[in-house]
Amino acid sequence: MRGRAVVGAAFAAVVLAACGSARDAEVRTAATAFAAAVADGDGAAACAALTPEARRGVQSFGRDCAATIVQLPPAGIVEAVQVWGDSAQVRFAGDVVFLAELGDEWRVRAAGCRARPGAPYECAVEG
Amino acid sequence: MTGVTELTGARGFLRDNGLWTCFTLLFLATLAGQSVAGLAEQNHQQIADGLIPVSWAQYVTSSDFATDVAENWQSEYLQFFLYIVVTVWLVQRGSPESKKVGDAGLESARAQRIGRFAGPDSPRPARSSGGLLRLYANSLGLVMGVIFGASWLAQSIAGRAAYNDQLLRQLEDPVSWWGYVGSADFWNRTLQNWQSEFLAVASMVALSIYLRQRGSPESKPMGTAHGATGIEG
Repeated sequence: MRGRAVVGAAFAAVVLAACGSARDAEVRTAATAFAAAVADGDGAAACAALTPEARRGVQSFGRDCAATIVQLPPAGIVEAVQVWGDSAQVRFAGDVVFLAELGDEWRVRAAGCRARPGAPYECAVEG
Repeated sequence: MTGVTELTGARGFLRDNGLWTCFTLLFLATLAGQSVAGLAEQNHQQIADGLIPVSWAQYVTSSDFATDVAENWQSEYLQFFLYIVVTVWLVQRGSPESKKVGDAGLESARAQRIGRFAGPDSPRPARSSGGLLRLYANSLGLVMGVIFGASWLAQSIAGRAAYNDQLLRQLEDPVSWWGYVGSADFWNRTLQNWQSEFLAVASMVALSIYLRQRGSPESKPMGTAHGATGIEG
């Protein structure tokens, strides 16, 4: 019985770890696709990767989403990914991007973010 | 002969285990109710944050639900753990929850019916000696303490996950486990539960000196003097 319990616990730990890494991979893929679209000047693709609120934020004051979003600084390579619940953060060498899980896909809800001591990030794109 | 009619089957089980059955059913019903109310609150927040509402199955397996459950469990088990252990050494004159004033401490082997004073109906560990006897002498407090520790640990792990989700929604960096157990969120959740448990115990100890509940073993018999200690109805 004890052997079965150990095997069960080990199996559960493996499943949880696999689920965790699978979600990390999904977030990494979504964030790098967004960063690549910005770097390639593909504003339409970058805007399509945003949450509806983030897109509305970019389009405020009558700005064009595609033309505005390609002005974000180059993100560079991924340094760290953190996923908690349906929220995630991807640290690039040159940017910090926040994502939200909407249904079965991850969308960017904030990008072009700068850390502020003791306060939330200040982001060029936010929604 | 006790005068109690022997019952068999389900009726006999319910008669003999009414207290356990009642509170287990209440636990399950209120846990289910908490999951429904918590789901409604969670989905209200999801919509406010521009996220998609979650299902009941997703909610009851979430860190938010686990935190809310574990933080209450740990405080309840802490309450009973402390009460079991502290009442060995501390007494309260007039309280049915307390031993008699002169009985503070571990008590004699004769009073505890252990070793050579154990009877034929005594549990086997009570008839033993050495490590097994010492373990059995502390088994109730030990198990309650372990469940408290495990629940508190679970609260810290699930609470960190829920807190980090919240931080990311607010565009803030997630925290480590050590960062979370030193955070205001962790201690606010912990202490607000502890204070209510300690108040309830202190109230019960004090009120049971002067007030009575006829027929309840948690109360002294109605005619018992206020100063009588360690007498249960």
